[in-house]
Amino acid sequence: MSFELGFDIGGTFTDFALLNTESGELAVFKALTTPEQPELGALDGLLAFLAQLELSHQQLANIFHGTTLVANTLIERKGALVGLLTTAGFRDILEMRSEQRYAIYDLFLQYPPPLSPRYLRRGIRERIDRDGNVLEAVSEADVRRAVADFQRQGVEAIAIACLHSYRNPANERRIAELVRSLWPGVPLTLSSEIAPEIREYERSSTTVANAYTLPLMSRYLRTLEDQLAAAGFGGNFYLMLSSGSSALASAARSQPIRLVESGPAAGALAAAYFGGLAGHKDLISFDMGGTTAKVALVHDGQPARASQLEVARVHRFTKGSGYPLQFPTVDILESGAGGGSIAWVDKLGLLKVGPQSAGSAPGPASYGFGGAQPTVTDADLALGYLNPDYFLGGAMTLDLAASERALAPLAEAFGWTIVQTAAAIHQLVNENMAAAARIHILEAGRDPRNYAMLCFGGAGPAHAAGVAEILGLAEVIVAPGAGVASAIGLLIAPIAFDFSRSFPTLLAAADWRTVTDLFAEMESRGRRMLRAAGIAKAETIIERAVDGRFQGQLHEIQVPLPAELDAMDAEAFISRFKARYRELYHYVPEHTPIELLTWRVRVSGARTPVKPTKLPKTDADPGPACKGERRAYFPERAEYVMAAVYDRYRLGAGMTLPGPAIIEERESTIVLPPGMQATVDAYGNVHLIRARV
Amino acid sequence: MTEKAIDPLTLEILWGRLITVADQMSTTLARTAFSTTITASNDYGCVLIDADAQCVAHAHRSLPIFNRTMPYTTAIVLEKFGRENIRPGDVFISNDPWENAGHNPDITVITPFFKAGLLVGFAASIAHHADVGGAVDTNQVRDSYEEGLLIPLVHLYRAGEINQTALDFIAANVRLPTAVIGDIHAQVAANQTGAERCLALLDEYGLPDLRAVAAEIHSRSERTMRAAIAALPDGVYRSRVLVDELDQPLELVCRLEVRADELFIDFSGTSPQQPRGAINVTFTFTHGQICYALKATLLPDVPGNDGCYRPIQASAPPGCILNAQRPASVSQRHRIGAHIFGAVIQALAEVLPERVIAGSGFLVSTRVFANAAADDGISHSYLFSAGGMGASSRNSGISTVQVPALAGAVPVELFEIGVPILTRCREFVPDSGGAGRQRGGLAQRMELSLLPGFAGRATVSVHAAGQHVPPFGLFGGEGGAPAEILRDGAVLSRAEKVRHASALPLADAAATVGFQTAAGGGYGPPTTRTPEDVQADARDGLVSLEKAAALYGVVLDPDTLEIDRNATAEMRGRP
Repeated sequence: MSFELGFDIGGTFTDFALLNTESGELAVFKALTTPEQPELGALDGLLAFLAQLELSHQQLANIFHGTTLVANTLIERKGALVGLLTTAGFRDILEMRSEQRYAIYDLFLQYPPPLSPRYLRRGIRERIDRDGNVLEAVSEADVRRAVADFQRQGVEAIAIACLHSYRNPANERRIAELVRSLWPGVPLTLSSEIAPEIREYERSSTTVANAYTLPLMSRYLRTLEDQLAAAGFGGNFYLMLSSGSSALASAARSQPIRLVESGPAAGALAAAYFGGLAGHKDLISFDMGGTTAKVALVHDGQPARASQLEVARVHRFTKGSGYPLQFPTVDILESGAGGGSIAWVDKLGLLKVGPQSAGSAPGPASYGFGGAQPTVTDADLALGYLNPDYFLGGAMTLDLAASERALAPLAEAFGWTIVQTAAAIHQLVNENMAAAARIHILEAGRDPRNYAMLCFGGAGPAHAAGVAEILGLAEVIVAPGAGVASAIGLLIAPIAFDFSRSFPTLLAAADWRTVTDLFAEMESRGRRMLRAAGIAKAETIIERAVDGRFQGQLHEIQVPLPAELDAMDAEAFISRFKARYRELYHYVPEHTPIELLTWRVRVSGARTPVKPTKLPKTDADPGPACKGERRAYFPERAEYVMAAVYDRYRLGAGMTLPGPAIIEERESTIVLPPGMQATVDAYGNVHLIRARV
Repeated sequence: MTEKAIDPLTLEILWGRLITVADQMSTTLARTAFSTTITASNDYGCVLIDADAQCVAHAHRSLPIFNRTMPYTTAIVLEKFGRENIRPGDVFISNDPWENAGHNPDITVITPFFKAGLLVGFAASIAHHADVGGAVDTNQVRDSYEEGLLIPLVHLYRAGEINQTALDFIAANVRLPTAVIGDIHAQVAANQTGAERCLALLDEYGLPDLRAVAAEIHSRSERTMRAAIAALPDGVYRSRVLVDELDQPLELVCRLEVRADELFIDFSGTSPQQPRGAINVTFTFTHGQICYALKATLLPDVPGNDGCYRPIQASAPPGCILNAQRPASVSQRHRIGAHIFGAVIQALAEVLPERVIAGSGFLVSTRVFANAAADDGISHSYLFSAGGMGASSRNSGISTVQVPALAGAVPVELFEIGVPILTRCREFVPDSGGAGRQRGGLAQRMELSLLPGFAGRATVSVHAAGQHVPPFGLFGGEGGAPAEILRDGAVLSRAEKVRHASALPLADAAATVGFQTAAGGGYGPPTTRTPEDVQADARDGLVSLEKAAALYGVVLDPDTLEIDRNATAEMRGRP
């Protein structure tokens, strides 16, 4: 027997999923995260999980790992002291950003500090021009002086980011060579390796962020791998990347920044998988937690991806207030809407929810930890949606009176009853989350009404029906595996690596030989990585794309290219390009030349398919799963009604539940409003749809 | 007929949705436009306007001035064509500086939208275009006729039919017709997005028009602004701001009166409009700047809309430089107009010390025209380069960020791809930030030369704001360093700047043209800045050891940067 293991270290829990690669069967497990040394909790958890299954480390063929450690290092600014070597005259690129304020009326706005402080940013005399010509060779004296100074200043990692290095990496490589000879072993990141794309600020930011997380992640991964080996694990160890694919740790360890969204990316993959089981290829993956809600889109069964992202935003999730990173990522939209989000009245006398959150300390008023401000969880409790005696499966009791006390001042301000206030909060937070999803879908040139929503655990299932209603979605699917979705996603992610190189050219004047060489270089690196992972050449999938625009524009759109450029039909490409452009923006500027900028390759290999666990088929009557009823308030009825309460663990395939109803599981609660019904499919997905009248 | 009042919850949801619609207009425009002034520098705006020409919502990153000028231009649409003559499928266009944003590169496109045959509102956008013809050497222009294309308010589409004549006129009068026409189409597309989404929203909520929601947005915003004004002590507050951007010092004289919950602001006594040099300001721009300064200081946390400005009355005498009359030259109006923000803030500083910021360095705008050969066409690029932001009671000023405008920089690599220019440097200027308990943001220095090997030549127009007069400090803080223009590394004299700065040639690869933006002013006496903050600035090379001692009274060891406590105490005059 052979097994694959996925484990995802989150802020609170470390989740495990184990796949039997022969039977396709899945097992899951959770352990508490140990934030100071997360690898310890993970290793102990794994031991317990394997013991429970009577397996040993030796039986694991592959381990796949996702972690929030990189994101946390950036958010908490606990990374390395980074020295930056850059083109002389440009050391402030990192701190000048785009020179724009992200909030127009706020005269007190702040930016996160640059991850390499100014005194450690050094200009090196060297210059490459826009066509890749070396105008000035690297000044060795400048490098020597800078490195000597870095050593004296206690620098822990070095980033190298020079102008136009995406076009010609020679000078960066020369600097790296000198640094290595002067300071063997110092962790190094080159912009031409981590993000060889045009736009110096974003590229430098990515390079420095990688250097910033590199020493810590290297230590962490080494400990993890050593301990796993010591416990008897002899297989391959993979890391989950933000792009939604896994790479061998040996290949990815020099680029830890690419792990920054590994958990959410795995979650989106799991959503695509469960959505597929339920018969949907276009999905909104919806993950609502304590402080934020994360939304990802799945188009045609694949998580939507973006070629850049921004992390560690300092201002209310506002774009422009974080660190930009330039590499492919599953496109995750995060908004400040969670169970802990606080409701308040603004200057205009209007109700607001979030983005301030009570978090877990003091937490919602109902937790009884001293929180006095009304939160979304308090509203959900007052509405009767949450069971005060079955929160976290009964591990915690919620205090309804405390929630109502916290809601009272808002009720008074608006002249509403307590429960009307709670309903308003519930509706408003739903609206906030829907807004995030709506923008995302419209920007992709799609219609929200063709999508189904998929959510796992957390606060999502209590809000999913409401959010779907606002977006006009026909169906909500609440998948099983609450809380361990990311771990399951790790077992689904293809083993793949994404490469990109900027080489701007007009389509009509393209030097296809150079482009072919660029692809060949990227693809051979990819094939090497896959070979190391034991994937045969025949099973390797190569996908090519290019970012293009009409000449003179700044924003590019991504268009796939055929696997062989020889086979490329320019006319067909142009019409594909224009079709995609029209889909996004309606109007196509005809007679304007097309310019191609960044060439992309994704090299991937297939995985053992996960076989979903099937539930036994039962009658449509949900009676056997019903555990009682309680009062719940639904704004569409404007009164409390009695809602049946079901135990999710007792639901059988084929059951149909009429709304209003509440379905409880340990870590989450599904709310089924009146006028809707729920059905349970063979895989344990609960589908919420509008009931036929 | 009385409208059904909208409950606060529905209002909050609808308001948020309207802002989202404006944001979607903004996204469409940024993604489909050609000019880097729009795509990289964000020099544009998108708004939703009700049927009475009142702005209801603007995109988050829409430039503040534009949010005020677009409803004004829309009111002119109603007045000029008559509400009853505006039909579905109409689109209007204009760039008249007196009816739009004060200079002709800013072109407004306005799209009315209808429900059941009735005018519901307008989706409008304005953008700074790549070229509108006219003289390159703007310091020498004498009137607006020398500044190129003027598009009077006309139909761009009439009942769905494009006005090709107008487009042909525009294309024939600009140096970069592909970009300009492409960007006009991008604005039309953005407006279309706004109109469609706004109508879908009304349908979803079963609303016949925008009236009920607009009335609530406007009245709540107005009440809140009135409360903010009422919180100020009644009285008259004044400031005089010296500006010196061309031949001679000029003065902006601001009188701000708070009377209960209303605010009256007037610029009587301000210097007259100037006969040359494009630095005159139309009142539309002046009014926009006044509103922005008041909004940012009095009511920063309410979404912008026309209700906010109802309690404000603004004026400037016709013929003064802040209310220039036709046919004054105006294309560089921001070099003077940017100082309005500072004038308002200085008038308010005594009563709102915690809400204001010191003078900011604004920006240097640079245009590069390059010719490879006489008949090979031109390549062209704009650069906006920010000065330093003024310090506040809470924070040191941010270095190189634009205030009061919000246009951004073009990445060096993209700029170099656009024109055959090699950027020699782009970095902070040490010691430029005004000294203070909170330090002013630093300025930047940038130098350009021809790309080695490029056979043609280029002309660079450098337009600096913040010359000669340091951006002001507050409460004992020092002013920031003023802007400079450089040729071959040397600072140009005033006479050289007037004569040459707006058309500097780059004839060979050795020649350079450059500039230094102005820096932000400091806040509070420099000797009250903590020695640790001064030490950190010195370590980062933002402040030199000499200035640390001379301005801040902080003595640092030249090698270790350790604070010499005794010498510092002595310098600062305390035991």
